[in-house]
Amino acid sequence: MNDASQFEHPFHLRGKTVLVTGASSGIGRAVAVECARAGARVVINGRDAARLGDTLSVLDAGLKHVACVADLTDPPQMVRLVAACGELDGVVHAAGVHGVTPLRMLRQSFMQTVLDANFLAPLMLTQQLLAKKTLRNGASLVFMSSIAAHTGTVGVGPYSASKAALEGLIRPLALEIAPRAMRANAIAPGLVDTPLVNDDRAWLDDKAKMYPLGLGKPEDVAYAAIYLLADISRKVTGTQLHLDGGIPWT
Amino acid sequence: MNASPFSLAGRTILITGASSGIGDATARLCAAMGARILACGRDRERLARVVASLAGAGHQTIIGDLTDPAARQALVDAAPSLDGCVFSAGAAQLAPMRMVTQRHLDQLFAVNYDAPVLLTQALLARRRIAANASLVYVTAVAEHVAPHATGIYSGAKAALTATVRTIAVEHAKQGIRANCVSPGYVATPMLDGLQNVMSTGDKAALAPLGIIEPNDVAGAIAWLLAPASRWVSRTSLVIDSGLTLHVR
Repeated sequence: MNDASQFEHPFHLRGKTVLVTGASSGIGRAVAVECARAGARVVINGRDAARLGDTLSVLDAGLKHVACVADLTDPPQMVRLVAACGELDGVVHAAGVHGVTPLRMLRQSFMQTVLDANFLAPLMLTQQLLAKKTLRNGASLVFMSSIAAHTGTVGVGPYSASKAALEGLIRPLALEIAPRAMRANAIAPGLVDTPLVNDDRAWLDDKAKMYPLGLGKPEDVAYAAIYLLADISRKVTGTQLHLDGGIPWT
Repeated sequence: MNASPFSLAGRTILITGASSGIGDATARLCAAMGARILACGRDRERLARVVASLAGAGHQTIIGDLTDPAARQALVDAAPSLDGCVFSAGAAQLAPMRMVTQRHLDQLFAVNYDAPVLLTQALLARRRIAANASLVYVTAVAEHVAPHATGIYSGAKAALTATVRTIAVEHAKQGIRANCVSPGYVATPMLDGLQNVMSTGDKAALAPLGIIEPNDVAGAIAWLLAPASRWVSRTSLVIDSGLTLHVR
């Protein structure tokens, strides 16, 4: 029992196949890279073939990782992705868009675009994966929420609403899939230094001051996803995991 | 291998309540992940058995009841610089509100609130907590659900959660993190101790994902102690097997 060299820590994904959406950049790319490093075979999805190919090229070799280009807001493309997945032990829904506009200037078509990408795509992908029996017993579903689902920021209404809708889904979903030992959880990150937000460095540096432990890195989110995907979290379901550098307002 | 964000190699971690249940499982997992354990408990024999079975070397034991100020003082005097602390010593007793007494309240707050909070205070004041350390407090999902007869137990755990959030915000500048794990019914000696007043097995079976084992909670604690969670603070992680999904 005292031989530490025999010990394998429980934060690994060996033997699992994990689908990662939004894997062509930012959080999704880091999730794909770290999941592969943790031993998973990954199926990566994104809209941009070249950037998705870049992600594929940096994954730990050895397993047959698969890249599938598809825009998840387009139902036929989603069907194609589901068909390409094979059986899955985990899904990380990391695809998302920004949705920032003052509400007095909001157009319904803009709101619909944000909801399509941030809420309906992960919801209907989950529906398809369940209906097509693509998820193995014990599968873990991880949804990317946001600190914005819990905080108020001027102009961020459409984005906040889309993420709050996603969190509302987690508990009923968790109950519906529990009989097959499957789990559903959300990660609610604060500001992570990714291409989605770092085009304005000065703004980002200013925002960083709000975070006692600084801005997040995409890897921080990836490690949280690995915990939620691994069997060690088999009793964790229906939760929002706050990942926000200890910011004092969540 | 030391570069793994999930390794605890080279870290010294204090674990209270290490002689049984969640504390015992956490000591085993953390030691296996490379940590040096400072194990604290009241029962000398059980604690010695736990420590003797840990992977690695250099572990220490401290015998004492942390509701006793002298025991806390002795622990702080003996403690090396700590990279992590797990506050898993706790106790549960049930009483419907109309039967609550000052004694019931004092006992439950002494072990579940005063002890971890005052021990944290003393460790911070004596600079025993290293920069970038991770503090993990074991609360209970009862703090949110507060079912029958748990008014004081739930209250003590909810109070602890609130105080942990203040600890996190005050010490973030040293990179110190403070988080809670909030478990449902876990198969531990503490749960067995409630058998004469409730059917704990029935309650645990209600959970959609079944009974929670101590190692399930230990895994969450180990993640919160590891560098992998370096951006996580002021969080409470619910591990309830889905028991409270319909009310959360």
